[in-house]
Amino acid sequence: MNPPLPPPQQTESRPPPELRDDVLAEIFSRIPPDDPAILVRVSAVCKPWRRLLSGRIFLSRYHALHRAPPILGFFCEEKALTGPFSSFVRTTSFRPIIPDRGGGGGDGWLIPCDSRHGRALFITQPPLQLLVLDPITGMERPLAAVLCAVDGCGHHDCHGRAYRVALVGTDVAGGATHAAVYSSETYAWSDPTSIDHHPNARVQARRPSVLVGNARLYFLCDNNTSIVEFDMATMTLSVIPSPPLAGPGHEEVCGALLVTAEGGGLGFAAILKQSRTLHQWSKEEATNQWKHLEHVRDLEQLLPYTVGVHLHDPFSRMSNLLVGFADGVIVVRTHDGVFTVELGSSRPPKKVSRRSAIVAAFPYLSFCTPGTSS
Amino acid sequence: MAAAAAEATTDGGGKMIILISADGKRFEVTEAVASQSQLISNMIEDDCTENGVRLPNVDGDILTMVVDYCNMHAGDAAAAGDTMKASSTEEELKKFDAELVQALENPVLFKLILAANFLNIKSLLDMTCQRVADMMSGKTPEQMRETFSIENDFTPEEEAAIRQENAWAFDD
Repeated sequence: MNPPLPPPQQTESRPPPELRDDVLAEIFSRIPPDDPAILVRVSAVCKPWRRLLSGRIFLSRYHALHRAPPILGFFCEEKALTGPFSSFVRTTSFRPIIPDRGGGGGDGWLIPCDSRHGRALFITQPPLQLLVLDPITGMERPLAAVLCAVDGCGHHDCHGRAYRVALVGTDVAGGATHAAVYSSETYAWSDPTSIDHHPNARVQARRPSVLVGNARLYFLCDNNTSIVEFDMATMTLSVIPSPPLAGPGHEEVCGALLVTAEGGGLGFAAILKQSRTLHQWSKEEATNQWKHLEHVRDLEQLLPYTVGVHLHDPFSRMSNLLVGFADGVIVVRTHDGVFTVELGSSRPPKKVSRRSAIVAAFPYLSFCTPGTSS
Repeated sequence: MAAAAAEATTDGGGKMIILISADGKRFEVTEAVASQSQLISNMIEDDCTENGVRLPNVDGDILTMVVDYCNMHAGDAAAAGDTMKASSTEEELKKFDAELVQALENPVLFKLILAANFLNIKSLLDMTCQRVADMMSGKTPEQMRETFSIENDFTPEEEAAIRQENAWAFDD
């Protein structure tokens, strides 16, 4: 097929000085993570470079220098007449490796339900099962088909190799929410734990969850007024109220989402319909009270074309406008497509897709170093 | 630069230090200038610069650049109290830095990186490494091999596998 590359024969009159590994690491660590193709190409130059880039020492240095991995794109659930299907909205050159399960008309489907720490979690059918995917390597692991009524799941990874999957779902008939944790180290699910609560508050299917610390996962219920907390360390479930929505009378909400507050605690974001503003709250650990943050953003100014121009008020026709969150960025869907809005900043929103049928978006954050594969 | 007594004193009162390159060239600099190198700064603290500092892995032409760089940047530190002067110095410095790294051929740039690494001059190492990292952008692996005179030691099969694994990164 391809002829082998000719060996470099040129006799260098002035060979460049040998750059030792420590110096190469200094150079490579300055390659920007938001252009992920560069590091991948560098790792294809020669074996010593590839070894260096895959090594733990380089990885921890790169991670330390750049701190948070960039958002490479969004795993999205889209609605179509033929049923839901999954798509990946790119924000960089990165393309994930997603197993082919048909979708959008086929008899099989695969829908994202979370993404965290470099991995993505999907629900597939048939067979009905959870699938943990490393989108960089395409490595996938189906989890035992224990679920008949998946209502929501969150997924948590410990340092690249081992990971846990938390499965939290509400049994509508029984009025109880159940939770269990899968460990990739023991290949087993924990015993389930349960809590009874108000039948109107259900943990919602495939809605982004928020992880606080290492073990506390939060899921917003479909009525937007209750939040289920699952503490994986103690295996306990509890229900806490959402922030009381501001304003006199009853402000209608047309989008609500749990977010990570500044400092890593639990936060809450909501779009209030009448004022068309985006509000934020953060939960104070000490008092367990919600605090309304001052930074309120006017969506009419923020997304003027989508809010003002349409004959039909887009807010009245779309039930939930907040579809995803990661790393200080909130994903807002409108009739004109999907936008990312930076929380706590005044920067204008960025349009990431023209598709308006996206109902959930799970940002995929990762460094693209060859050692990312497990 | 002429050699001088290692213990000479400048107008500013700082002690002078002699740096000696691999090929025996001698450079006389103030302690303030030399201290930008963490290596030399440690030596000054340990009081072992009296007979000059021998730098066996830095050639004279490279050390000339390093000393020029340190002279420029030590001036910046000295002018820090005067805002007007500091801002103009900052602009000059930026221009000086940009010209320094832009003009260099790769082998010289690499030698400068090695010197900055050995002498542990963080700002110079930052700047030179960033310049090389920026050069990687938009290049194919072949072009990177050319730039760095590196032999491809992958078999065609291995290379094809790497490309296939992350095909998206090789779309041009």
